Amino acid sequence: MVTMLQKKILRDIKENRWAFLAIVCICSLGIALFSGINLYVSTVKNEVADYYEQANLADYWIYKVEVSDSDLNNIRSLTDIQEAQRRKVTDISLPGASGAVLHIHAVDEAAIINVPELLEGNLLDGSETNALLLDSRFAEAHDLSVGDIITTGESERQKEWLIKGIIRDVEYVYYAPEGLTVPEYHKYGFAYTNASALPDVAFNEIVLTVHEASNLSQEEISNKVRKTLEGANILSRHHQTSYRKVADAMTGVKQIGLLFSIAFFLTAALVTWITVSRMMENQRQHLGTLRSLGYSKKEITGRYALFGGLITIPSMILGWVIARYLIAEFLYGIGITYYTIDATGVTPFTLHFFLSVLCVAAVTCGAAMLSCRKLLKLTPASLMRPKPPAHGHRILLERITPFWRRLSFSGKIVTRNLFRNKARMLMGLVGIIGSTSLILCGFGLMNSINAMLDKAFDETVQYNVEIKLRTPSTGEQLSDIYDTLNSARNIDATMAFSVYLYGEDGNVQSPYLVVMDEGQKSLGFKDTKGNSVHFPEDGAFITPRMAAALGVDVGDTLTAQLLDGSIISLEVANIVDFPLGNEVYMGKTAFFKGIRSPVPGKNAADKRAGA
Amino acid sequence: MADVIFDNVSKDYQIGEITIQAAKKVSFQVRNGELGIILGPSGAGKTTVLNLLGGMENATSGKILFDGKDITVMNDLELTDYRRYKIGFVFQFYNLIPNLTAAENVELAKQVCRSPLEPEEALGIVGLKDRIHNFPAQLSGGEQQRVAIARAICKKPDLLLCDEPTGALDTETGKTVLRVLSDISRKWEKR
Ligand SMILES: Nc1ncnc2c1ncn2[C@@H]1O[C@H](COP(=O)(O)OP(=O)(O)OP(=O)(O)O)[C@@H](O)[C@H]1O
Ligand SMILES: [Mg+2]
Repeated sequence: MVTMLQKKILRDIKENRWAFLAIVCICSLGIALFSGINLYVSTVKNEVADYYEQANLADYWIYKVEVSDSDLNNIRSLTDIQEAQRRKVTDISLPGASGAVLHIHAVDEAAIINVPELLEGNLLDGSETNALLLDSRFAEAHDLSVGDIITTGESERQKEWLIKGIIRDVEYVYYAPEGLTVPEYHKYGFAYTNASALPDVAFNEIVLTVHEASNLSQEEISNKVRKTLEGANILSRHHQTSYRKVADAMTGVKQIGLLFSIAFFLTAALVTWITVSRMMENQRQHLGTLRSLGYSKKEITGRYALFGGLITIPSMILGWVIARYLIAEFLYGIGITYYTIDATGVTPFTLHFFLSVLCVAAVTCGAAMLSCRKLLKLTPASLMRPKPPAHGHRILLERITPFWRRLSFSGKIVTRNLFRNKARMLMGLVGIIGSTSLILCGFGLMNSINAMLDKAFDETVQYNVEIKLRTPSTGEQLSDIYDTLNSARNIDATMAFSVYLYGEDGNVQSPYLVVMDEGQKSLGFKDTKGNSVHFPEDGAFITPRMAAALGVDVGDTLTAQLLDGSIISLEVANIVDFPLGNEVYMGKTAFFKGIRSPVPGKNAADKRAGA
Repeated sequence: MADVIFDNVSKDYQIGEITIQAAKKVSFQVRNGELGIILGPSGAGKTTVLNLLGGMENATSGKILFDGKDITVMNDLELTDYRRYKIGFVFQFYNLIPNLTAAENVELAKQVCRSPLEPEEALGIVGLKDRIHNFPAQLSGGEQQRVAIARAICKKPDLLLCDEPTGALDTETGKTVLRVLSDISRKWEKR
């Protein structure tokens, strides 16, 4: 049964329905924003994690020119290694204008690590030498299906392949080969075939998984592998393009989401708090009457918490609907065009939803109950009298007679009221500032991204073309390339390595180490104060973000480890304001000075040419 | 034995540096079953005295005994119980809840009592039986005052405090209301 007090409060709410509706809208938007973004992030994260688990994503990828049977067995017999398989990896191109490249993996036994997921057709039976399983995205982009024949290679090395199945693969959840920021399914794809189908290619890759219970660090495993396989490059998940890009994207979305949600939530909380406490203050005389009738403080406060409850419950429902069906669904729709996973749909709930509902409940019930309690400290008799105006009826402005005299009567009242309730004025100001800054934040983000891109391409990046060489090249090949580029105004040769950087307290970062000539003109570096800087004889440049992540400053020495295990020590020569990426840059002299153990032949060299 | 004893009770209000003495060393006694009347000009302190007696305000000094218990030393919970079970208050300005009907206003008081009158009955006593579903804004001042009386008497209180209960009534209705009040005091006389 509804008590009279509840009935009264419900009618109060009905009378204030517009204010309540406004608060419900603000609160549900707050809930929707925070939980919607997180709903999307956790959906993708969970789906991807499940997929990694289910398809047994490798923990490490080892590259070596030739992997023999004994190499494989040696790796298998290392402690804590669960599974290891070798594969042949090569790129085959499709002739024609498309310039499409298939990254092809060949296995001599059924894949147990990075197991391809068959979507259509059949798996290979192990003996076919001209059949393959094709990347679903690539097949879609080229309108290929099971049973079609594709031709690869040029002239006499041309080969025809039967598409036996269409697959998805856990290594290619986000397939944007180096240099691409978004996938280009028309151009880059992958395929699986039998090892016997690629007789000229040696086994050159080992994928392995580590026992879950293993407590060996990444460094320890890498070292073990390197000791076993001389001259091998080892890549952990954190360097694997797809894994890294998915993880980075999710962190990015989450951070931006958190930033916006917090700003929005604070504003919403403030507005809600002010409105609810003002509604409570309007109840002053009614509280007095209730007290005079013998209602206890607890009964009154408890009932007025209904104010909060009746805001929280609709906000919760509305917020969830917006979060689930608008925000998360929208982001997910975009997300799954980039992430090649089994899209099972947005999960309905995450902890974040309950957290945000809890926040709303705390703010609304808190505001109602606290202002109720504050009022109830007064005696019933004084509650029944209207609130006496605050002391000091005169405000400072009144002393400035010429100004005050010029104000109209209503102007005087407005100014007085403005200054009389300082707390309320302050809250109002903060609310307005909060909302305005949210709007500005949106535009600002857009502007600063544009400004950053302008800065990146006007000031920092001076080159027009970047040529990446996949394989080590001889001097002749290089001069051939230089010849074809003879109209270029400037060419800078660079080397780029994936490295691990070890910072304070076990912090590991995995950027590229880019080595260039001291005289290079392709990149213009500026320190954080805006002064141009050039590569010194010693040490490297890092970005402020990298410095913060590693907890280092100018003058500190970092240790960089290449994927093959060689060590380079680099002093932080300067922190440069580099708007793109988080890489480490250094001059050739400093690089060769820093080498602590022999460096392999250039494993990745690229040319930067300015035209 | 006297039921209500005011013993040297004073009430001061402090406004800035000025102290206003709303009640100055008031002493009186009212016996069980008696209908006591406080008379005085406007601003004399009548409302103040009733508020003190109803446990609505704290006395600055002095003792207020009800049934032998000093209410000036009661804590908040005891005072709440005192107002709930012992006191019925008719305020000078009625203080009805505007978004509850006459019957609901009475019901609001009834719901915290032990053996109350039904709202219809209480409203019947004050002659408002046919207006029970009207909101205060739909009633005249005098009718509102009578709803306030009905709200007070439905609690069947030990002590009925009425602040100018006939202030808004014409002579005839005023007389009726006073008769009702004295009837009630006789009928509900506690032994
Ligand atoms: N909260 C208060 N603050 C300051 N002064 C007060 C307060 N309440 C009452 N007073 C003062 O105390 C005095 C007594 O007030 P009270 O309301 O008891 O008078 P009253 O006899 O009921 O008058 P009336 O017949 O006009 O209702 C008055 O002078 C009044 O101004
Ligand atoms: Mg009075």
